[in-house]
Amino acid sequence: MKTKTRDTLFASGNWILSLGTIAALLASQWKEAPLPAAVLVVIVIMTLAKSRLIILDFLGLRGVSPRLALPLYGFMAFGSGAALTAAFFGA
Amino acid sequence: MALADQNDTEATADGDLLMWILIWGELVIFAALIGAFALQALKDPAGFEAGRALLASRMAGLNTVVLLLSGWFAALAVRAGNSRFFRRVHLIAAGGLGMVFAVLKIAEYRQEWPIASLPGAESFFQSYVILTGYHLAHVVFLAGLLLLLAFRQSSGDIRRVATLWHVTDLVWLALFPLIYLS
Repeated sequence: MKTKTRDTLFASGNWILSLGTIAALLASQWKEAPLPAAVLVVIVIMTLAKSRLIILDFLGLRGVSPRLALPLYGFMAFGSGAALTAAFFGA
Repeated sequence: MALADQNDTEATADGDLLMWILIWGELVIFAALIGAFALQALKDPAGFEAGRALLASRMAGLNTVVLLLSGWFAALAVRAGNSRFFRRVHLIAAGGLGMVFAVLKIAEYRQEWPIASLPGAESFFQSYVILTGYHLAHVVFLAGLLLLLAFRQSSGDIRRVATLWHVTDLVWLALFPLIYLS
C-alpha cells in the first residue's frame, strides 16, 4: 500500500475529525424531536465523505487498489442506503 | 538469504490474504445485520421510533469522534517509519481510545438498560443490542490487540491490525446514522 506523508495524513485526519464532530453536533441538536430529513441527508453525505478519506488515506488505498476500495465504498453505500430507507419509508 | 526473503514475502502475502478474507467476512455479517435492522425498522416503525427516542445519542456522537481519533492514531502508527517509540505511542493512543469507546458504550448500555423492556420498544432494543454488541466485541478485541502490539511490535502485524481497526471504524460510521438518526 502507498506510503503517505505524515502531513497528508494529518490533513486527512483533521477533515475526518471535523466532519465527525459536525455530524455528532448536528445529531445531538434534535434529541427530543425527530431529526429533520434534510439533516439526516447532510449527515449521511458527511459519513460518505469521512469513509472515503478513511478508505483512501488511513487504509492507504489511494490510487493503489480500486478493486479493494470499491467493495468498501459499496458497504458504506449499503449502510447509508439502509439508514435513508428506514428514515423515509419507515416513518 | 534469498530463500529467507522469499519465505518472508510468501508469509506476508498469506497474512494479507487472510486479513482481506476476514474483512470481507465481517462486512458480509454486518451487512446482513444492518439489512435485518432496516427491515425490522420498516416493519415496526412506531416501536423503533419509540426505542430510538430513548437512546443516549449524545454519548454515541461523542463515541463516533473517539473512534475516528483512534483510527487516526492507528494510521499514524503504520506511518511512523522505523521509530519504535512513535509507533508505541500511537498504538497506545489508538488502543487506549478504543477502550474509551468501550467504556462509554457500556455506560450508555447501563443508562438504557432500565428502559429497554418498556412495552413497544423490546424489538428495537433486541436488534440494537445484537448490532452494537457485536461491534463492541470487535472494538474490545482489536483495541486489546493494538495495545499488545505496542509492546510486541512487528510492522506487518501493525499494518494488518490497523486495517482491521479502520474497517471497524467504517462499520460504526454506517451504524451511527442507521441506529441513532434514521
